[in-house]
Amino acid sequence: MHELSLIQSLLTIIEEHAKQHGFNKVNQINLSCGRLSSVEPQALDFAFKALTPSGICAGARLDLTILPMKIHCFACNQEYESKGTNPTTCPHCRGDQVMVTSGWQELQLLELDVD
Amino acid sequence: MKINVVKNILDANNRIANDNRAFFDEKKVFVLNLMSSPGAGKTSLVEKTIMALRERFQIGVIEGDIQDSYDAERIAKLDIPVVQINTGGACHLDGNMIKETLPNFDFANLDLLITENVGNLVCPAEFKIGENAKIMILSTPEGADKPAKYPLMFAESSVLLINKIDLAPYVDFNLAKARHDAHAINPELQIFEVSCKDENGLDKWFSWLAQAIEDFQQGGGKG
Repeated sequence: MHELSLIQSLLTIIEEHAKQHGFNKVNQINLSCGRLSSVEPQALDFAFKALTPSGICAGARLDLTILPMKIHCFACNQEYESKGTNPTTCPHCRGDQVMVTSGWQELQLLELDVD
Repeated sequence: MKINVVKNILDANNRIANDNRAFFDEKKVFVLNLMSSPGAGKTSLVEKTIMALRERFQIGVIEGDIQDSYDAERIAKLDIPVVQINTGGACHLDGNMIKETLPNFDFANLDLLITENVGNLVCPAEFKIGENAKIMILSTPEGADKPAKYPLMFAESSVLLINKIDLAPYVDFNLAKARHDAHAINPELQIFEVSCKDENGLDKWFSWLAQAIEDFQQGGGKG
């Protein structure tokens, strides 16, 4: 359950911004992470609800954008996005000399909608 | 009202990990973050590594487990300074947990600090602790599909030890697939095939580690 640690860090960041900008209600939290960052959206949502029974984030909506895993194929020189099936076989040429080039971006807080 | 933030959620942990790293650099202590699934052989590898390198380097160990101190007792029997961290449910060690253990070690008499993370193939890869290198173990009974299924840890690690290689024929472990997928995710990953039970292949791991410690200590403390 590292989602609990992530949400705790998120709440700390939001509290710092609440002091700075003087808001006291958060409506929506926009987040992004790479597909490979091993963040589980449902676990994240559960951890968020569990840790915000009250306070400025209570009832806020979490919006998580998962950035795709991108892979380069050395056989046909094309880049493809893994849809969850075996990422190490190129869907264009079935080649298996491939390298993952993107998808490990860690969880980022992008934008807050507040009152 | 919308507020633009753009901030890494793990920034706070990364800051503490960087502080730990600066401290270890100053003390010239090489730090390993050892990760794997439960039961892959982390503690056995720590024991074998201590036995092989204790004449050349002064070694300390941090054991991370959700509960219990069984692993720390195994290490203490070898007369090596060891601290047990019980995370109390957390699935990984983080920078702050390591920071809190620091007063327990005599860093003037330490070259290598081995941190054995909580057995888990997912979360530990996300949290830096101030290590020089992340080392992971995949044991053959777990299956060769693990690099494709749990890519982050393979991507973050410098060394992959494929352990229990003596069992490979009995559990139909596809070594070529494991190596191929791991290198697709991390082309620079060093892979050693070992057996902690019969000690096959461990000498290559010991050489890699001894060289890494020496390079670090001679390089002015930069990891």
